[in-house]
Amino acid sequence: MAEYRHILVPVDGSASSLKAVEQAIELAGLCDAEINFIHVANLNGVMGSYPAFVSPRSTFSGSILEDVVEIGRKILDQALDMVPQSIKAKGHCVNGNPASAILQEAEALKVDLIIVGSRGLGVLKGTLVGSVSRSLLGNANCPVLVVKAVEEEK
Amino acid sequence: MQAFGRILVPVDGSKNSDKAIAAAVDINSVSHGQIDFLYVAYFNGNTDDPADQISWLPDEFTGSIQQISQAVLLHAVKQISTDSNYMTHTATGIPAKQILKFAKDHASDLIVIGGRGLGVVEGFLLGSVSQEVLEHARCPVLIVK
Repeated sequence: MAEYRHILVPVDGSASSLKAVEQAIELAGLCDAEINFIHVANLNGVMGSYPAFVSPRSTFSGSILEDVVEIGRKILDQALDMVPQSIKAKGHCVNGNPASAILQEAEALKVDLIIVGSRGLGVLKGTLVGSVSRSLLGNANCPVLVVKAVEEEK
Repeated sequence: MQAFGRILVPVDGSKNSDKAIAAAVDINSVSHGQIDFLYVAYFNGNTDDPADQISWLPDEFTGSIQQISQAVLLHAVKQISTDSNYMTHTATGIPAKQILKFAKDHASDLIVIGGRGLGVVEGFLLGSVSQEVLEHARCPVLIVK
């Protein structure tokens, strides 16, 4: 019997990420695994890294945070809606550096497998494997399944 | 989406390769497809132009490559614990390119590969062969470390 019981799928609403969701659903069905979706809102660049005198709280309104949380919820809901009733799935929205946050969650949830799309939303054209996916591959303690989105033939 | 009907596992006899084999066997035990073990050698007895009688490669050397490929594939097959369909293959050339060619020609549904192998050139996060395969594969790639 396959040992993959806890699958983590980082999602960002991209085509690649949707393929990862599909793949996770299929594998979870075969292995009787549960799926955890994670969306990472990277607000660090916006709110966290400025020096004190800039006073981020007064510079950026709280509504940005609300919007981001709402976006995260929509992205997670999109993934959760794809999962059939027979498979257990949960969504998590966290803030921080994407790769680190995903790896931290992977540790916390003790996942057996990470399934991730090869590219996300914010990629340089011509990059076939995005920076977050690469970072996961290098640093994850569990196997990582990278799913390709359908690319145009070059 | 199709289940993993054909799983390609490039093997090189390394420990990471063994881990990849184990993962592939695991997945295959639920997807009930076929595992293709592939060993890529840089050269074999046919690499040199047969018309040219003088080969720069001594026969003993090319002969031993064949022994190595057989040993590596045998070692891979020995790790199949469950009732899995499998086939062994050998190719000659640049490892990453041959792996990608095989996957394309045989419509592999999944490639399972170790993070690093026996190759001399090593990437920071991932070995060079795994990196290249991951970059250009059209099917999903499972990296096992």
